[in-house]
Amino acid sequence: MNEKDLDSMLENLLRKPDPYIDDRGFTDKVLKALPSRPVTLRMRVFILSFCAIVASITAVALTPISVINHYYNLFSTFIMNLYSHDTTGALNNIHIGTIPVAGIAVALLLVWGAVIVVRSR
Amino acid sequence: MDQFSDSALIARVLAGDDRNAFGELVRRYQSDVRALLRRLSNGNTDTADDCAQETFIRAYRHLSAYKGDAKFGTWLYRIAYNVFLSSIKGGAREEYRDDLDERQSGDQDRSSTLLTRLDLQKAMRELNDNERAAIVLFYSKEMTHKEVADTMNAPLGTIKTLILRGKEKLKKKLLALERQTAV
Repeated sequence: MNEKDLDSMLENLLRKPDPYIDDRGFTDKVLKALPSRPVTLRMRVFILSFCAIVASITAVALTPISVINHYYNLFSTFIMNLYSHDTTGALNNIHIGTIPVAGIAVALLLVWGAVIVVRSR
Repeated sequence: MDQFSDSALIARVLAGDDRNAFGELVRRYQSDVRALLRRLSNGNTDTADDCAQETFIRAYRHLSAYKGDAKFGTWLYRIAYNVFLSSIKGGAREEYRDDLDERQSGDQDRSSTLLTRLDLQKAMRELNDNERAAIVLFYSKEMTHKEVADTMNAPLGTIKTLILRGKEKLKKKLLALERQTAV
């Protein structure tokens, strides 16, 4: 057999389609082994948004009303000062002791938990 | 389900976790994927079918990553190749079994040509994993050089070299087999 014949014979053999393989329960086996529902992008957005909302509500609920009032006043002053081009006054009024650490920590934990749930699924 | 296109079935799986739709996709592609893996694993049906199952499970998990820029079959072959690579790295590959030759030889058409698929199957054992994968994807799965390069995550030039070198090895082996038959 010459080189050219061998070459074309080899190409024919290589390009020959594989014979059909009967399913014989293969598909059923795959379907049984499928993991739980994959988290789609929409589902991820839903889980993260839901947890962020719950986290925000929890953070507010765990914060004493006086602290909320304090920050509300601070925010209002800041907004009003924006119009008078003086933004330093309101920021100077922040005191470390008034920051609602517990609320923020719980909120962060909730969002972190949601991210872990989404990633693990 | 037969009347739905691949993209319609994929949309149904993604929208509502429709397992029947995914089952239809598996039914459509199981033969091609299993055949590819049998070729890659030198005819080892057990390894090939385990890899095929893992291929479809991975495809299901990552179905949202399929953007439709390539054919769904090509996307599956890419996953199958990666699953096969993981299996040989994990030492799951078994040696080629000669009994498979005999079982498969029954449905081979020993035509007037001297070379048959069985001869080719024997010759393929001479190739290393990369050469075999490049040749199978290019010829049997009719991928372009670029698609093979993407699938195997290798430069285009390397793929062309693998195919050329693999073909030369196959020719040598087939000539040797032909001489043996003639004696």
